[in-house]
Amino acid sequence: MSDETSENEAETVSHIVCDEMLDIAVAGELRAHLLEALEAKQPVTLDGGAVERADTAALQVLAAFFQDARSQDIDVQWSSVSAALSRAAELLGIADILALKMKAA
Amino acid sequence: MSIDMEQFKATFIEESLEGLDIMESVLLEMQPGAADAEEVDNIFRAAHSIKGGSATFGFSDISNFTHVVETLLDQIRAGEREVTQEAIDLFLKSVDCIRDMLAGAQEGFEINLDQVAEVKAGLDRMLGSVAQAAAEAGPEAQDDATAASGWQIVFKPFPDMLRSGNDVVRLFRELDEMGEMKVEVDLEGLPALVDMEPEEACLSWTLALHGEIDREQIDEVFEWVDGDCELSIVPLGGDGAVAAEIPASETPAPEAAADGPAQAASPAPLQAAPEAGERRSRGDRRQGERRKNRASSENSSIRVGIDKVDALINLVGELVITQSMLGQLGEDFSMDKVERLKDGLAELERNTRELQENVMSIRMLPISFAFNRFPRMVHDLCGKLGKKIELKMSGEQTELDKTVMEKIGDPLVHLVRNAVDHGIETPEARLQAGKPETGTVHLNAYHQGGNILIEISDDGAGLNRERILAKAIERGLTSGGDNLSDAEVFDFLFQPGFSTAEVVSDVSGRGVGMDVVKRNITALGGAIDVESRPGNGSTFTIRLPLTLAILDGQLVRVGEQTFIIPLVSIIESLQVEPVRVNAIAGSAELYKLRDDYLPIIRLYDAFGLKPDSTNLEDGLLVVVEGHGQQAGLLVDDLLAQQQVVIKSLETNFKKVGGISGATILGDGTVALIVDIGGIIELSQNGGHKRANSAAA
Amino acid sequence: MANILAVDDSASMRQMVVFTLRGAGHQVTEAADGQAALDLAKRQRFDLVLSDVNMPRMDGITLARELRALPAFKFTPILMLTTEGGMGKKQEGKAAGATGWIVKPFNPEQLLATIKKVVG
Repeated sequence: MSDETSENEAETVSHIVCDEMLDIAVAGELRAHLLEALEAKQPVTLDGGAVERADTAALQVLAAFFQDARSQDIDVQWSSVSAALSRAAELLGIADILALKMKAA
Repeated sequence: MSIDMEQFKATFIEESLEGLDIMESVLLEMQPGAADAEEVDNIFRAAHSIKGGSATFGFSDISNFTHVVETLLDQIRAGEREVTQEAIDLFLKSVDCIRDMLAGAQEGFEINLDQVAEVKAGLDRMLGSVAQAAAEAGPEAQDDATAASGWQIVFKPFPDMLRSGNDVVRLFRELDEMGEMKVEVDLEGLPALVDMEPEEACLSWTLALHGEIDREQIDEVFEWVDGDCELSIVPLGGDGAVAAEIPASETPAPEAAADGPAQAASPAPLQAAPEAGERRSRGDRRQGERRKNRASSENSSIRVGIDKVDALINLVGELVITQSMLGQLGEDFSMDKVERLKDGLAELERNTRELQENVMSIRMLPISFAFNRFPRMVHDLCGKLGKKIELKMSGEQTELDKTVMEKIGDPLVHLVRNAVDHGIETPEARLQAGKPETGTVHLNAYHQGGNILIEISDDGAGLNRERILAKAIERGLTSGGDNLSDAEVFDFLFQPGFSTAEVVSDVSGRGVGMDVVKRNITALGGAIDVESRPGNGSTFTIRLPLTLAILDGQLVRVGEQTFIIPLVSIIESLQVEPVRVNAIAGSAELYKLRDDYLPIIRLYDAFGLKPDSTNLEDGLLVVVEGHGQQAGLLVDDLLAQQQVVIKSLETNFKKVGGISGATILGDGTVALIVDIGGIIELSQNGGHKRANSAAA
Repeated sequence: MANILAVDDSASMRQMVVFTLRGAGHQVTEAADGQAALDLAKRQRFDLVLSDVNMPRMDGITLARELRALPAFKFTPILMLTTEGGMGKKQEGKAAGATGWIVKPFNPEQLLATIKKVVG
């Protein structure tokens, strides 16, 4: 799953790696990791480079996370984004919200 | 991608025929008014599978026919319809029709459609809906010509929708492939992450889908989530605006109009995807290309349980291990490893034997495959002949080689027919004779040694010795003989053209007689016996080898030749005591064994060989039985007993009297297998003719 | 490519489904009835279950319900292979947790097109 919120000592950035199968089966887990990241109130980097499939449930979780992060002024960056992930987000019309528009390959 | 459906048809036909057999046997047991739920379920399922498969594999007439049967059965299953005798009979006829149609499909010939049509009409009448057929044949729903320039779709999943495995991403991907799609998401329902139920849908969307797209195509995308979401699909105007102003009558898709006012702002929940019969047009492939030249594939395949195949694979694995072990041993062999070599060879022998047994078992099928047809046959014959007969079957699970099974079918049919037609008396005659009105025909099968025995017995009038004898004398088969045993008299039944029936009924046919039955059985290496007692009925016993491919043999030596005598034929082997030998009329020799006299057959004589000695005392006498007769075969020596693989002489060389086949021994030499029945007959014809009856 | 469990008591239907799916590069495991499928599902994960409805021992509806009760199959797409007998079986299947259905008779192309809706 989304690898643990590994605190980078120097910059204290929460780093979250997304699963290859980013789907409803892991949506609960993903939400838990993202909640931790929000609570840490540190900048977050997301790694979506390995995502082979992203489904509605998982993308909704990400959308809620981005919405919350924005309102709490937490900086969120994608370190990498797979084509499957950005395509799925586009289809749901939430590429903007997930800040994926630019990165779309 | 195009896949040739032909390849699945053989399997379909095979499994359908099995399904029909099940239907038939259940139907035959079924009593009017008292349908057992499980029974009905079984036949329903069979009909259901046949219908589904026939539609899939392009047999539309079978599918249409079976559909009606299935519907009726479904009504019975649901308790909406009574099981009447009429229904049972009609279903039985339907089974016949479907079987015919399948046979037609398999062999690629046209079948008698009148009969099918007649039964179908009966089924339709029963269903009480002739009209339905017309309705079904009606044109498919208005495939509206003018697709809109696009559609506006408002889609709001209910929270639970995602849990069923449906995914909005995939739905939208499908839509996106149809045309140009613009997606607008409505985030209003999106909660803060902390309040979120991650498995519940919370977003909703408004899509504008541009392109020449049928309403149907869109409905199909949302087909599975109908009822799990709010959905509104309305045509877009020319410039992409929602064509809300267009009067209903002008909307391209009539279905859409029925869905209420098309207001983007307040999407009406769509009870869309109305059933409306067939929405997808699947007609095109219905008539599927039906190729005629379907080679008769019935003999080419056998269905084997996966467990049997797994067991084989397992054994082959063991064999490979043993082989590699022996291989290693051979690479640097020394005498101190001789024990290990012996172990290895013992292991190899075990592997080989097990492998052989398992391979043989693949060819084995329960004899129920041959018995299955009889309930129906007896049922029908009783109707025709006005008899009352209960058919009992036992030992149906007894296994038999597939080839033997196929060849024993017709003889069995003949014998059962005879039992019903000639054996069992009419109900009146039975009552007069003080017997129960209903007669019994009993089919029984069991293993005995390396043989399978099949008994067909009836409790009818029994064979008429006098009449058979009279007929035999009339035909010059015997000069009359009070000294003939019952068995010998009854044996005349198996002579060509021998029939004692006063009236040739259309049931027991005429052309094929008992002689053909016997010939077929003999050709399989089997034998048939009759026992009968006046007033008590008759029993025909068929004895068949379990398989045609392998036999347990006794190797014997005659001069320099090795022969194989089937172990099953051997009663005992003994040293000849000269005092017991009786020479009759110079040429025929008899041996007194207990109370019997056996003809002695000197094998070297029969096969024209040079023996060790022509002296009876120097050799051994192998007492054998074949075709109900015993004889003593004189051989020079008994060798080992072993299983041998039978090679046909006929296919490799030509038929030789007294020899049933050949085999190759471990040392590479060829040994001939003695045909016991044949050699006894041969020796009788060669001057020993009366030997046996004189002894009896 | 997906790992698919194909369940049907008809050997010919199974053959056709398996042949089609394997031809498209999927990995397919077969089961001849619901019970056999459930036994497999308890030991192994699948990306998709395709199941006939009418089968001996355990029917497809019950299979869907039983699968949904297994954690590994909570969200796995389950498609019922139904005959076009109206909405009844489809709704029953959905109520039991099925994702959707494929209406028999279908041809290989239709099967693959439908599969695409849930896997790949």
